[in-house]
Amino acid sequence: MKKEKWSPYLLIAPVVIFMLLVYGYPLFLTFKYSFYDASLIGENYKFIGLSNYSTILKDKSFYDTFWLTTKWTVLTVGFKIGIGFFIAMILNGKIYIRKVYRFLILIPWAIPQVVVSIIWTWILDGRYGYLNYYLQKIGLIEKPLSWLTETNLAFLSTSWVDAWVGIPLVTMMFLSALSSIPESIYEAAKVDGANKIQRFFNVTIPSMKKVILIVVTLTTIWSFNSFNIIYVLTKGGPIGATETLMLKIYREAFGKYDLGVSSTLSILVFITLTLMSVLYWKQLEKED
Amino acid sequence: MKNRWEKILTTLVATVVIGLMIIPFFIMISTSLKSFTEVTVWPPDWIPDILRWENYREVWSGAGNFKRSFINSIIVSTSTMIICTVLGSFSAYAVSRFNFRGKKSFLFIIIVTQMFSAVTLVGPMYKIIKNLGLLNTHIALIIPNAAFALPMTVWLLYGYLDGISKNLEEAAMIDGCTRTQAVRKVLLPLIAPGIITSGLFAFIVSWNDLIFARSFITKTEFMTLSVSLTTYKSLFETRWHEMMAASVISVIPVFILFLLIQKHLVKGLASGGVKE
Repeated sequence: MKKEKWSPYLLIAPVVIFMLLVYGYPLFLTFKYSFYDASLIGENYKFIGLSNYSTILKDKSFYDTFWLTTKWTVLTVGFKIGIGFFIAMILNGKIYIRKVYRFLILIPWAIPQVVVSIIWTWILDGRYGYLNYYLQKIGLIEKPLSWLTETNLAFLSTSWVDAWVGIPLVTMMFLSALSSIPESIYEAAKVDGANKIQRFFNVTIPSMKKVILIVVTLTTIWSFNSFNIIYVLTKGGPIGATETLMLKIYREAFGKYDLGVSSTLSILVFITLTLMSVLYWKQLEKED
Repeated sequence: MKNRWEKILTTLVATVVIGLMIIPFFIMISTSLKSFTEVTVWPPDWIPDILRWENYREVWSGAGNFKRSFINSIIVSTSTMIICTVLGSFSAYAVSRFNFRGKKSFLFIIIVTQMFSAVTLVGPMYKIIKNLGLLNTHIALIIPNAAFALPMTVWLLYGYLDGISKNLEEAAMIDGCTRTQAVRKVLLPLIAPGIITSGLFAFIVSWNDLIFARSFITKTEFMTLSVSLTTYKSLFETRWHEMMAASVISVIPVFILFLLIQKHLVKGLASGGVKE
């Protein structure tokens, strides 16, 4: 068996080399360009030290974008967790044709994000959109709303559409946790005289604590990184109302060709996400 | 009796909630079969009087060069899938069957790569691809897509392999098989569903990519579906029936794949997070 000592390394080598070249090297370049005055299309680089960082950190618009991204992420995560948990509870209850529903709920997730955005652009259309029609019909609004061209509504709409795509996976993660809570605990609580609501707060929620933490962390990272949906729906507009950090990073590089600033923003995002995950590990360790 | 009513009521709630969730899917299909005038009729008609299947034909061979984009997407996604499954299988096998120094770090790094979006790396990648003279090629999409799908492929495959007992291969090896033979004859048939699932996952990731395709491709003949659709969107903002037909066409392949693998995929992804 001694011969086999090296085999695992040989086996993982292709992935390691591939990832180093295609993922690691650009990552290194991002880091490097954050210290340079670099253009996406030109060939000139100039080392400028921490200039990019100080420009960005002194600029008020960076904090605005950061705050906007945070608000957008919190709202989106809220939609995903709230609705995902609700649907998981329903699907975990006593219902007919459970398997059919479990399958149907996956549909939003199975549609490519670009297509999702196109469908919703149509539904949210300011003149002929289905949403305006039905909201008017049931009397919630009086005249059609511009869901994607009015700043606050665009913020809400993009968040909702992103949540719509994410809900199925969240539901599935909650559902698998819910179905693994043993029936006997509920029975015991019943015997002790706990009603439905008490059982929910004293049995369901505590047994789900760890899963909730995991799902919140994952959806936070996913929503923070969301790009496709916003890009196709609003391109970050109107007047920057939906320009999250990801859209800003992209626009700095591919709109203004400023690779230096774009890379610096990326590094700041790396730091934020790393901090978030560290907090998550710490919390997870505490739970165990 | 009380239980039965409760069950009927819950089913009713489920029908309404899930119905509302998936309505957009039906709006897409219904709109794709309408005529230009029907699209702007209020109240919206759910089932058009005449189903205009010719919308699909018009989109497919029309001015948007949609057929070409479809073929491009197939080429790019299939290649990504092949790269990911081949490279991924070896690694997943090593991680699941051997104990070695650095195994934990390897798995940790695999997970960490999932944390960062393609957006943060696309700028430097553009530089590299441009310097290599690979802008407007299929390779320019295949390789970056593979880098972003590979970690999850490894992770999914690892989950599968770990679920299969080592004993089978070991028994085969005691019977005189070499490790390679044992893997080929005993293990491979058992993990075929796992390989297919993770491969198709890579296919879907690549099919859905917008960022790379948007940044590295400028020529129409190399555009993939996501770029074509976004371009379409800004060009034909009002021709919703054709937009929806185009959408349906680009949904079909992933949708079929998804139906095939959903059961395994959900399990794999859900445990991917929870395993930590």
